[in-house]
Amino acid sequence: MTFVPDWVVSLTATIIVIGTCSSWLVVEIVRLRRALREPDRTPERSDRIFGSIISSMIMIVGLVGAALFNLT
Amino acid sequence: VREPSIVNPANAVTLLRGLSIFPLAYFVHQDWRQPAFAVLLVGGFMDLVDGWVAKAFDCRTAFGAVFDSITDGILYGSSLVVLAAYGWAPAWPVAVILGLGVINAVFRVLYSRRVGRTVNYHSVAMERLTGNLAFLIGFAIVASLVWYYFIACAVIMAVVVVHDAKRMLVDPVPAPAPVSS
Repeated sequence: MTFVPDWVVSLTATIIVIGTCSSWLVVEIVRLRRALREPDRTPERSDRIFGSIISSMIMIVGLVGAALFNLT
Repeated sequence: VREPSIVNPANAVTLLRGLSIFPLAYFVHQDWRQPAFAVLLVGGFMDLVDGWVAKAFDCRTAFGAVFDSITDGILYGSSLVVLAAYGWAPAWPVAVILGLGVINAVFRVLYSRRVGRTVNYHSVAMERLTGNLAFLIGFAIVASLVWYYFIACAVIMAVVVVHDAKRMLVDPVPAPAPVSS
C-alpha cells in the first residue's frame, strides 16, 4: 500500500538522517571537548567521553549511509 | 513532598508508544512499508512528547523513567524481531544485536549483586546506542542500506558491551551514598 510516491519517503528519511546526525554530531563533539577539559579523572567523566565517542561514530555512520544512499 | 501517581499523562503517552508495536507488526505483515514508517515516526515523536508532558504536568516519577526504558527495550526489541521474521531486516545481525542486549542485561544484574543493592548501571554509550535502534528500524522499513546499518550497529554495540562489561565486572564499584540523619 502506497500513499505517497516512494521518493517522498526516501527524501523524508534522508532529511531526518542528515538533520539529526549532523546536529547531534556537533553536540557530541562539544560535549567531548568539555569532558576532555575537566580536570577530575572520575569514572563518570570516562563514561561521558566514551559515550560521546560512540555517539559520534553512530552519527558518522548515519551520514556516510545517507551519502551512499543518495550518491550511488 | 508527595510523589505523583504512576497513573499520569506522561506514562499514558509512554504506554501508547509501547502499544504501537501492534500496528507496526500488522503493517509489516501486510507488506505496507509507508504506513509502517508513519507508525515509527509517530512513535519517535511520542518519545519526545512524553518528556514534555511529564514536565508540563509535573508528573516526573522514578517509575516513569524505568517504564520509559523498559518500553524502549520491548518496543525496539520486538520490532527488530518482527522485521527480521518478515525478511525486512537481516536475521543474523539482528540476532547479534539482541544477544548482546541480553548479555548486557545479565551483566547489569551481576553489577547490581557486586554493589549489593538494586542499582541501575548508567552507561552513556549504551543510552545513545538504544536511541540509534529507532533509526535502525527506520532504515529497515524504507529498505535503505539495511545490511550496512545493521552490521555497523552490531559492531559498535559489541564494542560498547565489552567496554561496559569491564566497568561492571572488573572496575571498583562506587561507594554507597552517605545516609543523612
